[in-house]
Amino acid sequence: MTVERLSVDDVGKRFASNVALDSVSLALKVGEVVGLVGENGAGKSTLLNILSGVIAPDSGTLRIDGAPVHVHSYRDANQLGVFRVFQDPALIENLSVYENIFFGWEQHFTAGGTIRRRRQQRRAESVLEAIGFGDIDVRYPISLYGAGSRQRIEIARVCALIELLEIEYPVILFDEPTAALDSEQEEVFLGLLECLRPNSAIMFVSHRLPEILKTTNRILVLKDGRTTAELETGGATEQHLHRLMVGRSRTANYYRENAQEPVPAEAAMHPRLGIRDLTTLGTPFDVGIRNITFDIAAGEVFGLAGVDGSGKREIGKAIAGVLATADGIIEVDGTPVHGSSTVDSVTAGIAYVPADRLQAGVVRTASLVANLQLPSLRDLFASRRIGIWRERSARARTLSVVEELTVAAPGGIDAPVSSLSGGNQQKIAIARWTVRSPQVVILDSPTQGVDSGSREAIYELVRSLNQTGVAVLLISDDLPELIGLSHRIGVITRAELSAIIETAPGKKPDEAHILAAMLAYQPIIESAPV
Amino acid sequence: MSTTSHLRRAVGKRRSSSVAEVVGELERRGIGTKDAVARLLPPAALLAMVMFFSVRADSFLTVRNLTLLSGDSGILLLAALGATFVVVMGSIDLSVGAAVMLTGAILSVVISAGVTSPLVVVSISVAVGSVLGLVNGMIFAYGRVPSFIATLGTLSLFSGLGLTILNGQARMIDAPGVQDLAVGQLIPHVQNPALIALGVFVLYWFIGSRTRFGLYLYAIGGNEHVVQLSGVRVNRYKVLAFVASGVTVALAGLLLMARLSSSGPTAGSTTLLDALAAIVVGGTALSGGVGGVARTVLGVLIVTVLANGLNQMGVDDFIQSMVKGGVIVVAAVFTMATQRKLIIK
Repeated sequence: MTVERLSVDDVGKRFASNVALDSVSLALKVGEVVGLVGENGAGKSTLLNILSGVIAPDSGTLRIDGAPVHVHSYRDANQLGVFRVFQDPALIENLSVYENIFFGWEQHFTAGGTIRRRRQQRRAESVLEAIGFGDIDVRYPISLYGAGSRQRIEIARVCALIELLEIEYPVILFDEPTAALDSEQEEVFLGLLECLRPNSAIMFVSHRLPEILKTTNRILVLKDGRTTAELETGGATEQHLHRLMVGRSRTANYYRENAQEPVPAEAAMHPRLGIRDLTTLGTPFDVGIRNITFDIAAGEVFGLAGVDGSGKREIGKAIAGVLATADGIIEVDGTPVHGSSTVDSVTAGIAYVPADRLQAGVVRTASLVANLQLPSLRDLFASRRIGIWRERSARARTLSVVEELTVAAPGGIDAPVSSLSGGNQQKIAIARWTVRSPQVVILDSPTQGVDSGSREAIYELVRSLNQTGVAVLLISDDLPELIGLSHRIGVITRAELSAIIETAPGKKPDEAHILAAMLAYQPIIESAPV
Repeated sequence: MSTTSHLRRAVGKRRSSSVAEVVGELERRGIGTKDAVARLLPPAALLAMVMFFSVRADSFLTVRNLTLLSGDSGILLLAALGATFVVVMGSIDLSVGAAVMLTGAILSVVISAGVTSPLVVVSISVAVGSVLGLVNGMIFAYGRVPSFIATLGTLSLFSGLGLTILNGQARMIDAPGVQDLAVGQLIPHVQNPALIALGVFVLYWFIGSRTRFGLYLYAIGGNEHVVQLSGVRVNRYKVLAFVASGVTVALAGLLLMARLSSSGPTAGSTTLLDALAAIVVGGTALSGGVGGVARTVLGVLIVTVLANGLNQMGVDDFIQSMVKGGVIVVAAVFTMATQRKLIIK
């Protein structure tokens, strides 16, 4: 059968000034598994969101069986036969497994206004049994299951709905379905995929390239919101895919590589930041990190690379005291940081600029001055004892920051931060920490959603931090940026530091090299903490 | 029997990895100790109180007093039943006391106008309650106002309206049929409010545990975002929960008025505190998603036995107020401690 079950022509989507997808076309046929690969931020999630009705495209058409359709919600998509296994399972914790599996479709089980729970339960059990997940007890609430089981319940939900809605040729979009599975569960899933293949049109998104190469018929490569390649799987290799996924132009000047100085041997002997065996407990919502050990010297930029969910962000959070640590030592200039709260880490001279600028980086409704002084109101901009505000010094510093970082602030320093563009907001988010003259600065995705002009200013800032002897931990999905700015890059795979790659000036590796290290897949041991 | 030992048996039978995972998770959270305490504490406390008051107050374990107790419990249960739905959804209804007073005021006017048939008066109070609930629900769901702000506003609105109707004074009623709803005993030694409340409880228990509406209430209390994504009309169910609360509160208002043969400005002044105390003490978490009307029955018994027993012992009102407040705080700490989110929507 070669019917095009689902296809899109020239879909595009922008978020503010960022182009997330730029005229992408694809077709999914029954009997075929299509792989979708790309770096973080390449547009995979946006594409899946459009295909599954979660967001509407700005342009382009969605067709089902060749006829144009308008899909307004995920539920609409379900009714048209399109299903998605979400990367972060969308489950309700306090409800049982079977209630979650049929959530929103209870009308298929109601008689006289009441839900036939027994029937729901039996049906859920039979589906789980049929797809090889029979070990999950459907009566218990989701909150008692870990990430791997939640992922399997999410998969089971899709299978159950296909059966319930009697969809003959479903379209199934798998978004990283194996990320939280151990090797045995992964085998079961790949077996399930084979059972589904003959009657379904399947899209398979995964960072595990061997899996993609083993199961798919065709592979679509996305980069910066565009399709850069569409190839038959037969004959493709991992190295080949790595090359197709990366390859943005990297100009040395852009990243101020000429201003990057090698770390003096003496500085390397006495690290600014020392991390020993840092470990956190994973929860169902974030991966843990295990035995992370590295040093950053004064004046060094240490980059962290890793795929989504590898644990690289959690390292930044743990050092900043946002995430509780289970074990390990954090040292600044050889002195251990006592306690593990944000108060302790700020006192020790650690500054953390989070990735989620709007939620955690700045207070959008507050003025530039207020944002700049917030982390420093306990010492820098207020008297120490009773905290009387030093208005004049705070305003003076804000004005000088605005000038130094060329913050475009048309409303002046008393205007709310929300009146600035994303890039300028980010400058404020970083500057509020640099005015404290910290020893260590952690930058999580500092240029995400930032225009190129502001990027340059941020790179300049990183270099000037280096020159004043600050140790910088740079966490980023942008590989050219990571390579350009860092002296060394630590690669995080599966919650562990798996490689450290030298990226000193003149010895910069290419992107494919880093990417290969990020995607290197070692099966994890059964029952290891997620 | 604790949940953990039940699961242990299941593991022994099936030896499956994910059941082991469930048991592990339970143990990691200390459930089996803490959860068992939270579950067993209310019945144990009730038993202890009954024993204590029986020994300390001669008049406690008498037919006369227990009959009185049944009436008290019935009226409080009605006030708390619908409010439990609202709390399960993760919200709160602060207007219950004011609604009791307002319903009484409206009904006393209706009765003075010559409407004395119990059936008609009950229907009118259900209608009044629905309207009050609708007002709360609409402000909360469509006005996107947090429920504690929305119902704080309507608390003042309802009581102001009630006082205006009463002109600030108590108003006697004369309708033997209606009064009989509260003081009559269809079954000897059980006051009618207990029977009525029991009937409504069965209905609400069924709605809460066997219908789609009930499931959605728990789901909204658990994770509203996912419910929204699933294509459920969340606002409709939010409004419905407040209507369910309005209806039972109005019935409580009716019975309170009938019992006192009058409506007055102070009617319902303790209802809000007592109803919330009963809900929380019973084990429904203020953060939503867990608990239910069955637990509220237990909470109602605890609150009424406590008040009644202290009365029989001659403890004065001011001390009683402190004891009640302490019990609520302790119960809230127990039910909230295992919850991650702490904000009431």
